[in-house]
Amino acid sequence: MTASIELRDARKTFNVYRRRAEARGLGRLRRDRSQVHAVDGVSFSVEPGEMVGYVGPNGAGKSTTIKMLTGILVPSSGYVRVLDLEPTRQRVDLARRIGVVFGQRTQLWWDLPLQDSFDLLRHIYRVPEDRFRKNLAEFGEVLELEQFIATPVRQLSLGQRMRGDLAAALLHDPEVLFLDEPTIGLDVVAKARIREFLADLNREHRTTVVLTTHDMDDIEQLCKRMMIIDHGHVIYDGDLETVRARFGDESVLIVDLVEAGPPIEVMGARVEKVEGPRQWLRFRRGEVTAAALIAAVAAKAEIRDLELSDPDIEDVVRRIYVQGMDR
Amino acid sequence: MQYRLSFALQVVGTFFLSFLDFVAILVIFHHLPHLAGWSIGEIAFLYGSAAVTFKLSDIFMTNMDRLPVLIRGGSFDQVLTRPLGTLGQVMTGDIDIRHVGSIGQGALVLSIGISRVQVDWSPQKILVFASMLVGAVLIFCSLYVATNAIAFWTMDAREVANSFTYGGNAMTQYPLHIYGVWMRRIFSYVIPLGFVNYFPSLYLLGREDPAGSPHILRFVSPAVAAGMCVIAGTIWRQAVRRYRSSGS
Repeated sequence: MTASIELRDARKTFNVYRRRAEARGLGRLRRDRSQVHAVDGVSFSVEPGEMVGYVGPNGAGKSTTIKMLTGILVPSSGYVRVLDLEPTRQRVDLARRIGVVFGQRTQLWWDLPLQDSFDLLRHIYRVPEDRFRKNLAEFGEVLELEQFIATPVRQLSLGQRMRGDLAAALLHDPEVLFLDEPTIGLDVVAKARIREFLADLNREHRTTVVLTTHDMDDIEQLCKRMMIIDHGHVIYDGDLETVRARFGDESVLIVDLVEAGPPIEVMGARVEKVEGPRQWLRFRRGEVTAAALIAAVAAKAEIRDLELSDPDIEDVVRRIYVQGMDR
Repeated sequence: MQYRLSFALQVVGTFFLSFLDFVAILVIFHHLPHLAGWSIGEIAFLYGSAAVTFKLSDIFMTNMDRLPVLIRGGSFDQVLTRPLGTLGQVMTGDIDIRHVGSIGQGALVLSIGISRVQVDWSPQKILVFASMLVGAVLIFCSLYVATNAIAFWTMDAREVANSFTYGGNAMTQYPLHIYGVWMRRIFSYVIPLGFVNYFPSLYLLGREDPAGSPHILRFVSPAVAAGMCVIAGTIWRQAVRRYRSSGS
């Protein structure tokens, strides 16, 4: 069985022009050209049926990679294959076999009801009538599209629109689904619904899924495998537990006490910061559970409010740099 | 077609507005019996064939105006993720049928021209006439595609494109031999606007080119049009490869 996706030393370089700020007169018309290596030698492969999280900070090269895989951007160099097709040269053939969802942008028709967008896509992808009806029934039920299928897309909430976009990308039974920030801007309930849907899809249809995200929870709940990209390089490729164990298991408990007091001393945590009645306690999840820690704190002082903050992807990336991968 | 009165007014409006264009030529003939040796009927024939074919391609290419918006905003991403040709997707969308008014004007001038010129309509001449019209539409459309594709490099190319398309249309309303030597060469061999109507019209109207262009040029319009389509398609494909999308 060949890989669904294969990249070898893929690169994408953009020319960026900058006007000389200090120039005077005609010199202002001159521009300095510099090159930005958005993706700078990325290699990986994804097997059929895998679900892979592709994470990294803003501007790391996530979207650029996805756009090279979906035939939107022509790679500057390197080997890129999806389903054994070269995405930009065999774009139309590939488009029939993959689904693409960009969280920030809809592929639905803005002024048309969802149902009409689906009908148009059925013709564009030449989905047989019975397949189309079966898929729409299935996805419509799981994503609960019935309530708003007759509403023009422009009037849908972000969460509804995302569900519509997901169904739209799946009507033609794609073998690979690319999702660029599918949960961005959604509330907790909407995020949970989308995650559940994707997990089912991957399990039942064996659809290969590649998703980019900022949200570590997306990865935690969906992907056994994650790749971390930064400055155009893949700096980690493996499972989430390993990263968590090495770099990302430090959480912070923020407590608002009823009365300001000295830093609380409890086992397994250290107070990082005190600001009046508010204290920041850093602890390792491997050593003490959040519940045990909260109980320990409550035993020492009365708590008015508390908040738990998990490390975000930026933290993890920073730590990988500081500590290095091979430790 | 939601607003019938508005539609009707616009059709009538474009008809009369574009008619003013031809009035300028009528004014010239008010003072002179001939324009560069051509009678008013022959000029009307030339003008009408250019106007009809140009307006038709203008309708097909209405959506090219949207291209810079698609490119700058990154919406061209969607065009590339669908299993359809990119050019077809950009061209379809809003088709602005209000331009039928100006097509009507062109057709009227062309029929006046046909009725005033002495042409013996043999099957061969009818074939050349029909292929001239089809070829002209293809040449104009190719110009639209090739020049608008520049937007993939520059982000916007509407002004450049308009100077070729609308400028090309204005240029084809007069016999090519009124222009200077270099202009004639450019419009024959570089931007082949002479093949839109002038060269085939020389044959149809039985006129000699005062500039003495080769006879064969009168019959090669379909080949020139086909060549233009190939060139425009190649430029378009190269241009799409330059697409940079936008950060998201």
